[in-house]
Amino acid sequence: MTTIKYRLLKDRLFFYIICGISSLTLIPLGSIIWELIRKGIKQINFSFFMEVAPSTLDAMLAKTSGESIPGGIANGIIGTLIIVTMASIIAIPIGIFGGIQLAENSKSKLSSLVRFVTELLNGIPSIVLGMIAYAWIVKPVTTGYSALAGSVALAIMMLPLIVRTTEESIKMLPTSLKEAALALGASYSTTIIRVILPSAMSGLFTGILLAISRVMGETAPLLLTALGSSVISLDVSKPSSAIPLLIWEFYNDPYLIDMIWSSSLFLLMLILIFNLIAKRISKKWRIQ
Amino acid sequence: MNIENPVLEIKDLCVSYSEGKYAVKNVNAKVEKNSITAIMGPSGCGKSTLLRAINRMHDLYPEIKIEGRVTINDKNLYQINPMRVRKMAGMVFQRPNPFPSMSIYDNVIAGYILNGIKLKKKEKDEIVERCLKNVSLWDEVKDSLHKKGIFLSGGQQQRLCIARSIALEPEILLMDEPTSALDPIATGKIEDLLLELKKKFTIVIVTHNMSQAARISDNSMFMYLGDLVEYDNTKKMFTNPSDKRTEQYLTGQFG
Amino acid sequence: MNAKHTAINNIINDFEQVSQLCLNQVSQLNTLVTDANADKESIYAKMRDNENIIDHFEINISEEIINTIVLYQPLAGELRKLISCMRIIGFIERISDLSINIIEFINRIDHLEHLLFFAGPMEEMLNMTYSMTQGAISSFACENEESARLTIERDDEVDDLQRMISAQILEKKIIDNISSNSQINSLICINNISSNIERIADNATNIAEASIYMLKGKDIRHS
Repeated sequence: MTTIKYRLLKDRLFFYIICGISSLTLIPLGSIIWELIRKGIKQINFSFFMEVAPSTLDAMLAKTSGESIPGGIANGIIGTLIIVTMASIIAIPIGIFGGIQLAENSKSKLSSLVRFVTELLNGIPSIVLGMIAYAWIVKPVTTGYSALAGSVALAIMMLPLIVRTTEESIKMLPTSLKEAALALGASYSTTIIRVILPSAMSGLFTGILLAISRVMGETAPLLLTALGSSVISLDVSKPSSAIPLLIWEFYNDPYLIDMIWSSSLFLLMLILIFNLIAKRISKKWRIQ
Repeated sequence: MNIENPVLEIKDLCVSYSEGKYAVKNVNAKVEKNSITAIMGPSGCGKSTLLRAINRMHDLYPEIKIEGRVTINDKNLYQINPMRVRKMAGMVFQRPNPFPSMSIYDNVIAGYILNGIKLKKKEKDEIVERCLKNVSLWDEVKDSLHKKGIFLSGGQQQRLCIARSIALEPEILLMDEPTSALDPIATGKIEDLLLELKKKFTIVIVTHNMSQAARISDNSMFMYLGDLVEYDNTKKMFTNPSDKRTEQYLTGQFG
Repeated sequence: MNAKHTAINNIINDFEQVSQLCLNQVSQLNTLVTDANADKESIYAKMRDNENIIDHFEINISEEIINTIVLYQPLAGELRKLISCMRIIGFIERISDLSINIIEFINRIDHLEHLLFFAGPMEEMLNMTYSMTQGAISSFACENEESARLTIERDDEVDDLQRMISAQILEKKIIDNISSNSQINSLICINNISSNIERIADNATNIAEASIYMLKGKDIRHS
């Protein structure tokens, strides 16, 4: 075989190896989705969204009589909704203002400190954050497990992401934008609020959506703060259910274990949809 | 050179970025009302610094020190509120920068919006139409006033920025190389526009393009290393400059 | 050295060549007028050839100057230099034209003894004119204001000489009682020759004025 043919063959082989090995990365996600759909799709029906989680007794009775398990995960869905919304309400303003500070006064001592702390926060294990929320909120504020404590823990997790994306979105804006606003006689605060933030809105929004999709599935901090509940609770100072908590409860119960597939499928789909929306919005706004 | 009707007066102006290092040294000049004055010079000579000292853009940077006086119609600009100053002296920048989050309509009246000045809809409509007509943009955008400004071409965007500046009816228009980022046809349109606008406003334009200064300005300043080397009628300065350094610059002996 | 400077240098080089040719034309006139044994035919031929070359130079240099202005937009001193050069080329061409006129007149003189009679003042006029032309051209080429001023001052002297020669011609006609047509014709030609020399001097003065415009930026024509 001539050297040219040999080299062409080698190149082809290399190409196939790369394709092959990189497609290995598709296997985990693919098999997860496949497995979840296979096992969980039959459980998803109207009552899945409407009824609260069944108790162990109901499940045992259903299993022994060969019926499908009644109930749904409505308490988890509402719980997740409430906790994540509250976490957003706490984290978004702090995160955005933190990001503005870092973007505008990049070199000051305060900014270096904020940057350092934010990066640290990013690395703290989620269960430790749960413990901190336990110590701050569960014990003193709500004297007991509560949805509020859960939101605080999740808010701390969302903060670094929001701060960083806000800072980067603002830094991407041309300086002449700020100068143009100031040159019209606007005050500094007006410039930030009415020109800079709206102009950076796509980046900000994307960051927020990504932060939300990140914490939606967090389990460990909620174990120590929200605890879980079998009813739909709208009182934030009381314990609350959440989808990941339910998955954990189902897993631990021999009669409810079959429910883990549908709940996991639902959670996964939710996170996926949030991610896709975030990407679409960022692409649409990026045309400018 | 005799200025009969000065609207802007600069006296002993010095701008320094750090102790002892001056970007602009002892500039003295009077700018004639309803004229176009060009500021030229090689890179780093201080022309943009001088321009920005007029509308106090250097206030944003506490390490920059300004000495001297700048007055518009005898009002000392450094003794009144900087936001008021910036309404008296509007600025147009090198890169067209319409506010991306605002429509064309809102961009024109952005000066009023950002200053919290409330106007009736009729007043707003009138201002938008008048300013866009003054910059020859009305016919091109009158049917899409509520679209975002960034969908316009570079030349149109820059005219929008000019409309935005003149909406506040400033005494003086400061322009920092407004056509550097534009193609020759858009540049030509803006130069024609400036010649029209000078009937109502006084224009000071920084340019590194000598032909542009020659084409549109009545008087020209030549700056070198922070000094105002020569300030004279453009025709005279370009045919028979008084200072040797001006001669060297005009004949391309230093860029 | 960029394209603009190269273009301007080329124009100045061409200018130096054509101005040298122009000076040659004027100096040859001196030989013709004063030296009776000169080989007139060959001198005439040479001068006519030079005249053609000068004409071509005028057209080429003018075109080059226009191109340089269009392409490179020279300013200040460079612009004045090119504008002055343009004007001076025109005057140089006219000086050469006038020289050819003079040799035409010399050709028509049948009575050369009359020409020799006036050789003295003619030579003086020619010398003065030659040095004026040379001074004016060098004031442009060497950027020297003094030479230009000197040239302008001497214009009056040449005018005086020309008037004197005219008067003397009239005197000679009356004193020598010249009446034949061919003799009168010769005297008229001699008069024309001297007035053409005076016009060469005028053109030299124009060159000096253009040179002052280049040096000072002041247009001193008609003042």
